[in-house]
Amino acid sequence: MSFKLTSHSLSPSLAGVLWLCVCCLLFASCDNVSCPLNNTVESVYGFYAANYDDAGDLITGRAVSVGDTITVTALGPDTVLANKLVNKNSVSLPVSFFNDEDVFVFRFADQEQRIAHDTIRVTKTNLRHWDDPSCPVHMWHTITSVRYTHNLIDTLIITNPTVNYDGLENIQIYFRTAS
Amino acid sequence: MASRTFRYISALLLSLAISIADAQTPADTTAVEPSDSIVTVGDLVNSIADKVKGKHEKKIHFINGAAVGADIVGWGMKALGSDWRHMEVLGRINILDRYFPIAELGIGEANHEGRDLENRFKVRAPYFRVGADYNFNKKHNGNRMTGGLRYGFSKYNYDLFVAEPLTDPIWGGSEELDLTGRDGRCHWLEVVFGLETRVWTIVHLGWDIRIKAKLSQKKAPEGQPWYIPGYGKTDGSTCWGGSFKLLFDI
Repeated sequence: MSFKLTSHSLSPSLAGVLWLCVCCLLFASCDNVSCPLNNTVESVYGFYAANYDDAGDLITGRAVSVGDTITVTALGPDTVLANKLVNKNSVSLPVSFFNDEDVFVFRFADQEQRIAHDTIRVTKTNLRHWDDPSCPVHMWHTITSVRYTHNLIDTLIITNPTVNYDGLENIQIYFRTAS
Repeated sequence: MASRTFRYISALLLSLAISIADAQTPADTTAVEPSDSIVTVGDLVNSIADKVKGKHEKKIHFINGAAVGADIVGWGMKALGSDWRHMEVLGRINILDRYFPIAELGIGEANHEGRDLENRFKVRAPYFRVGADYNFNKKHNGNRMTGGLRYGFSKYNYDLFVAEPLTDPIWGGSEELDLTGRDGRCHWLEVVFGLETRVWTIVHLGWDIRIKAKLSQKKAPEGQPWYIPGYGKTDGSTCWGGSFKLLFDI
């Protein structure tokens, strides 16, 4: 068997081969990682006014800013998670990594220092989650149910059970209204 | 970057077209026999065309051969110490010098440590692709411009070694994470564009670029692998890849 070098077709395509190698290395070197370095995630509670229509059904979606001062404490560690919020329409609260249920105590104080409390119990499942070796492992959660007292809170609705770092609203809190 | 890449590809296509044209012209003109009678230019052209046509018709068979080879990019990445690479061999059949059914088998592996954290991802598993290429070059001179499709599959176990335990800063508690031995598998499709040339009698060199799209993927609930053998890194829903092939006719 004899080998014959076909030089007439070699050089342009070999140049192409070399350029491909460069392109491959460029593609290979791209590395886009976008993730929070903090490994805690927060559940978002939106504030809404509880109004009912003539049929007695809750009219959803009327967001309000709460004029009272709101303080939220996690029962168990007794840690203040949100301190003296005024005129807010939502609050973001961390979620325990390993518990099956979190208990939050909401304390409301109006300008005349009248105090009211409501307790919210959130039952959930916990799931370890990673995106990339350059990111910390996060604990994500799925809210399965909520129980609550009815002093100022009228209704709670789970709008998005998945708690991760996308910052979407998870629970709507409907407060009683004067009407 | 995109316009520069396009310029390179355009230049390569032009170069290939010129090389294909050059490959025919000198060899064909020397094949003309002298004649006793007066020869016109038209006779010469017809004579050349007949000889070239006859030559090509003799060479091309339905099963026009087969080839085996390897993707050198993966071996190069391994030699350069890349934290992900593949070793791939391939075999293909040449039908009419036009259609090329092809099978690609390989082992993909990754051993990647996170940038700021010391988390480490590991995987090593085989993969395969099957598909076919179509040669757009109508001249049978060993230079080929191909387009094709591949179906790829890989089944693998992957590990994430987490350096720091997961610690709850508010409620307390800490857990060492064991995220090893996660099962995964992936099916995907590839659209391939390539150029190839014959450098010696039975030796071909070629390259291709390919865009890959997942058809389905099974992954652990905790997270997807950083790299899928045969598919590539999993930053998005699609992925670019390429190969640099050394092929031997058999």
